[in-house]
Amino acid sequence: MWRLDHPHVLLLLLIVPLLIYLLYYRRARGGKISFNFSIWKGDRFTGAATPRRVLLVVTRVLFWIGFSILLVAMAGPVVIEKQRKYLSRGLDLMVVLDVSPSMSARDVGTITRFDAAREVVRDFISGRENDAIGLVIFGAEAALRVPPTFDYPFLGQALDSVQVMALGDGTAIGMGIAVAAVHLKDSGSGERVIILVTDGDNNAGDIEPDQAAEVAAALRIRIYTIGIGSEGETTIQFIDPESGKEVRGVYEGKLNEDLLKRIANVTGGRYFHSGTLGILNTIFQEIDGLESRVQDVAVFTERRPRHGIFILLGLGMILFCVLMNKLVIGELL
Amino acid sequence: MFDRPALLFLFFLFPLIALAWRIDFRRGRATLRAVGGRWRSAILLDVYVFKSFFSLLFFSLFFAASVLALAGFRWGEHLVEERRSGQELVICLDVSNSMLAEEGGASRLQHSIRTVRRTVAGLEGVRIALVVFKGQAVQLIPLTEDRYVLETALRYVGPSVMTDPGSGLEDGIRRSLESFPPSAQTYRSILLFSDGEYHSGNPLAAAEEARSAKIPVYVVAVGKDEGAAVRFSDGRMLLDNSGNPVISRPRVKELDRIAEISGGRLFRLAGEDREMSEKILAAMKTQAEGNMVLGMRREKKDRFRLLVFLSLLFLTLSLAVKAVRWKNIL
Repeated sequence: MWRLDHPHVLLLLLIVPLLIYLLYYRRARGGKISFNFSIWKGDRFTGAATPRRVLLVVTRVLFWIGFSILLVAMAGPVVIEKQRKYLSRGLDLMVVLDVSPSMSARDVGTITRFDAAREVVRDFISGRENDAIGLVIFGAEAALRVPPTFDYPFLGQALDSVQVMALGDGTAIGMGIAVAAVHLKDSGSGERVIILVTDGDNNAGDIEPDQAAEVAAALRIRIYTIGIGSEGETTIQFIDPESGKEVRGVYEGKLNEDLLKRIANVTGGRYFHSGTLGILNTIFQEIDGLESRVQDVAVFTERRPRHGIFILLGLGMILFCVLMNKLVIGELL
Repeated sequence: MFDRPALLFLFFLFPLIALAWRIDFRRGRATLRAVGGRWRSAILLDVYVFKSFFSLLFFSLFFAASVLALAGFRWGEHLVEERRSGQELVICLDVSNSMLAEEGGASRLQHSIRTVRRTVAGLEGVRIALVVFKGQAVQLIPLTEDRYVLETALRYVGPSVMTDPGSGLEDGIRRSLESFPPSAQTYRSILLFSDGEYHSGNPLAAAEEARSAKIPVYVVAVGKDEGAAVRFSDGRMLLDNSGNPVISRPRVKELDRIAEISGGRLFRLAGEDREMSEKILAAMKTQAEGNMVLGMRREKKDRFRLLVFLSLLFLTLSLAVKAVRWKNIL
């Protein structure tokens, strides 16, 4: 929102018509000479050429616009922005996302489990404000993609760049939890949460999911587990990131709900199952609600001065007009 | 003293203004000689010279005051409410080949990384991001409290993380500035490690941007004045066209300008220096706590209103010289 710091300065605009009168219309004004035609022996006077007259009018108009703009600059134009400052620390949250090949099964509506999870996670991130959010992915191995951060655009880019099968064929749920827990361990926030999204059973990695969950519980990290997809056979289709070739096949669902429930229970979280995009959305909204805290927020206004652009514009116009006057039009003064 | 000192270059337009006046003066004088007639031309020219001089003088003063207002000339101090709290730091690390120059048993890059580690150890609870630059700049780590990820990244950073050759110092500073989320009320700073060998871009413009955003760039100029040969990790030396080893020397002057413009400080790192991190931390502490009085911060007063007022006054006087008839003749 634009505002003037000292709007009363605009009263000075009233002197502009006065100055115009004194400069161009007062009979006894300076800058002109008068002489008797009866003693004039020179050539006849002819009026200035039309383009020059037009230029004169244009430069005069621009000059006074520039003058007025400088007066507005003196009034102190500012842009006022309301800003919120959180006085308390939010939670630190890790999204642990399964990128095993089975996540490419197209059984969450018309899209794949992976795309559904990614879309919902993206929406979830956009709804949080004061929480440091990170991303861990896991397949046969697990890897930290983004540490807990408030830089949501960076997180969004990392999420967009994740591909199915990026970490091999396998589902190392325990490793995924362990990596997330390690990176939450030293977080300065008192509230630490992992959201685990998977469609399978642990079949890879050196760390058992139950062990990892116990470690997380010891670190007071809550884990919400989300089982995604339907039971039974589904077709999978994805591009292998290594070979660049399309892979197709049939996958039989092996979601280990008992394991996911245990992990959630041990850590004080909850287990959810989703078969559709709508349910998945609802689950994330529920987690969003569960992990919302009353936070102290200070709202204040930030002033961003904008007089610089007005001064530049006013000065530029006046300088242009004066130089045109001196170099092209050739007024006497 | 100035928010935008680069705009002081507008003073170079003065000769153009003076030239325009001179051309117009000569033309006006010839006109007055022609139309003034024998009796009046002398007095007409007297008045004309007088009016032209004062018109130029007042217009020049108008121009000078406007440029000073535009450049953000400040003087005097006042107290403003300080809303910032907490600290955010972007470490901006030069990973160009010249940072492989060996000095004191290790490369400039290794000395830099050791200093980063020691500095980070003294910054508990501070969110830190890592940007590296060579031909281009890349943000490796977003602002985070996670020190593991920073340590992991520090283990593998080097010229091989990017294929793009060169040393994009400007890009590095700009990418670092972009690493801060908008509108956060924290003390923000950039810690730049570089030998200052850049071949393209304008890092001073990026430093100006940092100053506008109130983000000081603390610059660690890495390398000894006498320079050193650049040795790659496979043992090969960087050679010039004649087959002689390239001696890389730090460009301290340029780096000092970056620190000065942005409101930061310059540090010299020539070999192993265990106290360097303490100096950096002390400078950052001064940024957060210096100039503070009971939750208020001392700040230089912006005097643009006075300067614009003066500029308009001088412009009006310049017009008045024309408008006021003198000796009842011009």
